[in-house]
Amino acid sequence: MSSLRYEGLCVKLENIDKKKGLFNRASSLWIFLATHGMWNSDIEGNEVRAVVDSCTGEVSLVLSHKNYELIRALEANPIFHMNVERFVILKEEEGAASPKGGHIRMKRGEIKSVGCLETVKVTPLAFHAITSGFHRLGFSYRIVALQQSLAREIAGAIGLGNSQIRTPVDLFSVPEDQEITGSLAAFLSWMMGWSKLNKEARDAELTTSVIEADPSLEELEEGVDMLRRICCGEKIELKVKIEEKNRKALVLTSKLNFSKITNYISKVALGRMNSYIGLQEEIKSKVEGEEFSLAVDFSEQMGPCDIYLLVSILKSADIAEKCREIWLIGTPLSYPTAMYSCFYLERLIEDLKLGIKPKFALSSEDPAVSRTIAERISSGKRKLLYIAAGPTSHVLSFYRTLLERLKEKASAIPLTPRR
Amino acid sequence: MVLVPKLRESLARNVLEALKKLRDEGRELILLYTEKSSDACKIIKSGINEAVSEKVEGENLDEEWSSRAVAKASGGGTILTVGEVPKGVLLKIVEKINGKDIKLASLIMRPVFQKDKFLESLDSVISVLKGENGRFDLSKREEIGLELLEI
Repeated sequence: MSSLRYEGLCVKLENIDKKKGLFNRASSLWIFLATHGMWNSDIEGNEVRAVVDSCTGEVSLVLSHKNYELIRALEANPIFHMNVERFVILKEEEGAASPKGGHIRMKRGEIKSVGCLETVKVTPLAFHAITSGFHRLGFSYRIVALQQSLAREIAGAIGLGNSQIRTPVDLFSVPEDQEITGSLAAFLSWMMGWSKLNKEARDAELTTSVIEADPSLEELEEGVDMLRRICCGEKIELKVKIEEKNRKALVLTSKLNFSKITNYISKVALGRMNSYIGLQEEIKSKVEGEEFSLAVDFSEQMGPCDIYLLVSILKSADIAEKCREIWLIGTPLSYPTAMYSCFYLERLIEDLKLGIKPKFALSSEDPAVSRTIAERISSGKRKLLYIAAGPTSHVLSFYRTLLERLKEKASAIPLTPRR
Repeated sequence: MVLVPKLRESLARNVLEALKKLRDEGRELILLYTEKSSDACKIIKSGINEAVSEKVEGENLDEEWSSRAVAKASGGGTILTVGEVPKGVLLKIVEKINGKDIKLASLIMRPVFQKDKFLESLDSVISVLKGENGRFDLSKREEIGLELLEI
C-alpha cells in the first residue's frame, strides 16, 4: 500500500443533503456534464475531490473507497470529457469494511492519505471544468465556470444587481470566494496543460471569436505563480468593473500584483460578456410591452451565467411577466451546458414565481434539423425574440425559418458586443 | 458573394481550396472583406486571381457588409459565409433577403463521404486523423476538408 501527499489545492464537490432533487445531488450533475449527458446516473458519491498540483497544474481525481459503485463505473467507462492525470482511491478509515464486490478492484489503487494545502468547495460545473481535458471544449468549460463564479460581479458591473435572483453558486450552497478560487484553479491548470500541447494542435482548437492567441510567456509565468499562491490559501479577490475604452467593456481587477494574467483572463473570460452591456434596452425595445417568447441559441461558451444575466435583464426591465416561455437551443457540442443551464433556469423560475415555461431543444448545424426545430418553436402566434449566438449555419437557417413563419412577429438580437 | 471574416492562416488556405472548386464549376466569386480580414482575403485572392475583392468600410460595419452582400447577390446569386462572420451581419442578411431570390450557403468542416463507399471514406478520414505515432492528432482535422452547405 503506497502513501502519497499532494501539495496542491483540494477541490471538493459534495451533495447538499440526502433529499432527492437535482440540485441536491451535485455529483450526479457532474457525471451528467462529464459524460455529455450520456449517463443516467443514479450512481453517485456524496463527496468527490480533485487535487490540482500547485507546481504542474496536473489534476488527480480522489474518491473514497466507500464510493465503490462510482469507482467501478468510472473504471469501466471511458468518460468523454474527463481527463485527469491520476485516479486515486482513498481508504479513509482504517479497518472500514469495503463493500463486497468492489473490494478487489479498489485495493489496487488504495493509498493512505491525501494531504492538501487548502480545500475549497465548488459547484458541479466548476468541478467538471477542473476534470475536463485540454481540448477546445475543456477550455470552454473552464471559461463558463469562471463566468459563473463571477456572475454576481458581472451583473453588478452592468447595473443588473438583483439580490432576489439566486446565482447557481447560491443554489449549491457554495461560498462565492471558494467557487472563484476553484474556477480560477481550473483555468490556470488549463493554461499549464495547454502550453504543453504542440502549436499546430493548439491553433486548430482555438477560434478567432473566442481567443486569437495563446497566452504569452509572461502571462503563463504569472499564471503559474498565481496557481501556486491560491494552492497555499492566498485569496485572490477578483472584481469586475466597466471601463470606457473604444467602447464600454468589462474588466477584471485583482488587488494582488497579477496584472498580466488578470488582463489575459479578462480578455478570454469576460470578452463575450460585454454582449450584455446595453442588451436590456435592446430587448425592451423589441418586445414593446407585448407578450413574447424568448429563444436563446447557445454557443459552446454559454452557461448558467448567461441565464442569470438574461433573467436579471427581464426582471429589471419589468418584462419578466410578459415572457411566456424561454427556449434554450443547444447543438450537440453545447448540449451538456445548455441542458445544465435549463435545469438552473427551471429552478430560478420556480424561485421567482414567474409564469415562464422553460424549454429545451437540441438542434444542429445541419439546416434540415435547425429548420425543424425553428418550425416547432414558432408554432404559436406569439411574438418571438431570438437571441443569436450559435454556429453560423445554424443562425442563418434558424432565423430564416422564424421569419418565414412568424413574419414581423419574429425579431432577433445578436449576442455580440454592441458597437 | 463570399463574406470573408478574420481567419487563421491554415483555415484561410483550406477556404481557398474549397473556393477553387467553386471557381472550377464556373462560378463567379466576389470576396467581401473588412480591414480586420484583409490578410485572409489576400491568401484567398493569391490562389484565385479571377476573384474580385472588395473592402467593406464604414461606421456601421454590420449594415454596410450585409447591404453590400445582398445588393451584389440579388438576381439569383448566392451569399456564402466562411469562418465566423459576426452574428449581427448574419441576422441583417437574413432580414434583407427575405422574399428575394438569393441563396444562402456556408462552408463547414466535415468529411466528404463518397456515395456508396461509406466505410472506405470513414477509413480514409481515420487514417488522416491518426498521426505518425498512431495517436490522434487534432491538427490534422483541417485536412479533412470543407464542404459547401446550402441553407
